[in-house]
Amino acid sequence: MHADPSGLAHSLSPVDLPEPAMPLEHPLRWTSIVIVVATVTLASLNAHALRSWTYELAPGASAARAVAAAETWHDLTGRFGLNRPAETVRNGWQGLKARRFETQVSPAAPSSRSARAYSSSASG
Amino acid sequence: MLFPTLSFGIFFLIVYAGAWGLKASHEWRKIFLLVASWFFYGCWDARFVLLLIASALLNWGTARLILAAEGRPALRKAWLAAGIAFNLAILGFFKYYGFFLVELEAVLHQLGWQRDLAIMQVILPVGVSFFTFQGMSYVIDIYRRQTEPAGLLDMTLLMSFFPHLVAGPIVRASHLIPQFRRAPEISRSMAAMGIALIVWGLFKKTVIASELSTGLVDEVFFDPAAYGSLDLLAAVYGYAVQIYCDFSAYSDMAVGLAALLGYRFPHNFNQPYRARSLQEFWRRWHISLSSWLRDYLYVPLGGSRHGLQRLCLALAATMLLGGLWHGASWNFVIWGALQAAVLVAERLWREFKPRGWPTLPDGLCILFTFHIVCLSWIFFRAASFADALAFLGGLFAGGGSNKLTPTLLGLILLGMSLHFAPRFSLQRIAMRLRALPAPAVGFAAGLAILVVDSMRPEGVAPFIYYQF
Repeated sequence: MHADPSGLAHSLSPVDLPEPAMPLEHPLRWTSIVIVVATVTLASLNAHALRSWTYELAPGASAARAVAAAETWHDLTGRFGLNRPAETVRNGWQGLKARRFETQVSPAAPSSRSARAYSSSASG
Repeated sequence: MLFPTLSFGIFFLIVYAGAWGLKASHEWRKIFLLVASWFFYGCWDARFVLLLIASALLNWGTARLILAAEGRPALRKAWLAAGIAFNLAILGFFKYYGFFLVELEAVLHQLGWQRDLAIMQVILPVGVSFFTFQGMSYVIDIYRRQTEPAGLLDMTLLMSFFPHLVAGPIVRASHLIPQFRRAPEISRSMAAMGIALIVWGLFKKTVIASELSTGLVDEVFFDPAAYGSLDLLAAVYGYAVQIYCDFSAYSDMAVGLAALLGYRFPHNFNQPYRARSLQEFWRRWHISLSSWLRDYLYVPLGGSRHGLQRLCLALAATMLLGGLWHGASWNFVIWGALQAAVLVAERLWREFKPRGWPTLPDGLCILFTFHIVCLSWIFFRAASFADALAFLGGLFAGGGSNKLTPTLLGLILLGMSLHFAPRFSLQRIAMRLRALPAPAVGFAAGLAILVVDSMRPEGVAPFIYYQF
């Protein structure tokens, strides 16, 4: 058994942390700033996700306006190079996923049962 | 509306702003959260919001009737029985009606009755098992005088509160109602831990669980005959990691979202695959359900108070019913039976183990328990009993692997290593975060979500436990 001086092992909830000796002030303001900054960071660096989301909206006049605004925003952030970090991570991750062990010849071709199911789900 | 989507992100921003904007008026804040929760649930199927409201009303009403019958034990018991019957009727109709009729029809056909029964297609409301168990525990706790009676608003919010509504954790009235009564408060510790849990949950769900699901598990379990033993083995381990990362991610995000609104939800997972026995596994896996089953099923069935035979029967009944709780399927029954058999065997072994026999090293116990759990996951995941048997047969048929890639192997190893990492690692990170300036934490959280979002596969599969 390890000692648990923090008392975490006896907490009722994962969010019950031992409080520091000096109280941390303005918790709601602190939390709200965290959320706003995270949102702005994502809106600036992940315009691609915003654009994809607008294309999934139910078709209509407001969806068309949302798509146009998201496209404009994507172009604007792209002009400043802000889309590059996400693209770099995505490409790097895809490259990693494409790797195979040396003994593997190629990605497995789906069997007839799999192929039927996947083609029908794709067409659906 | 799934947690790891932009739609939910926008919904949560509005709820966060509205809830804290109404901080001065406690009752209006709860009404706002209630309406937001109904909107959240209505995004799946608006009709089931009525079911949710009806369920809350009837559980609240039954509790009031039990309270009004104070001093008349028989009447109290009758109201309790009515409350339980009502909850079981909801579960029975939505989860087991179709299964029961199909099985009945098969039996009648065997007896020479050739007419078809009118089998109605019943749509399963998302999370019905969770909110029904929640309502039932409130009625039982009121009967046992283990919780204070809740007002109608608090009771309805308890059952409808969107962070835990569709896949738990099962938050009991005694835990959440007192929080609803107080003015909500948030500390920087709660907020930092909430944000850490949300980001960590997103990673576990959208990267580990989704990649394993789409890249390995789904295809191999769909057609096991097309794959060699190594691929099948990788798919079993992959599913063990997937279901843990999927389900614990939902719990993490639920706890984190509730924390940002000023509420504390209980622990639901504690590194389950490091358990040295199946009994210990159930103290670490889906803790809110296992403690529910212990308190409302195993103990009333006798528990350990009436001798070994009764204990084994109570264990077996609890696990079989726990299996059926997941859904109407023979595979879930077999899953429950397997769990029951091993739990009973463990108990008997502890009772009758010859003196002087050595105790197995912890490592071996962990390995053995993990593989028992993996074996039961095959029945849990396979579409039918025949598929599960075909899968098990394939495991010993030989053949290499063409499906497992280095990345998938890495994700399986990462998912397993989480169970052996120092406990409370995330809490320690949160304790550092809370002392940092808010813009720095916000920027770091934004970057972390960006990385996770860039790695995730296209689209988001629903959480596995939504179907329960």
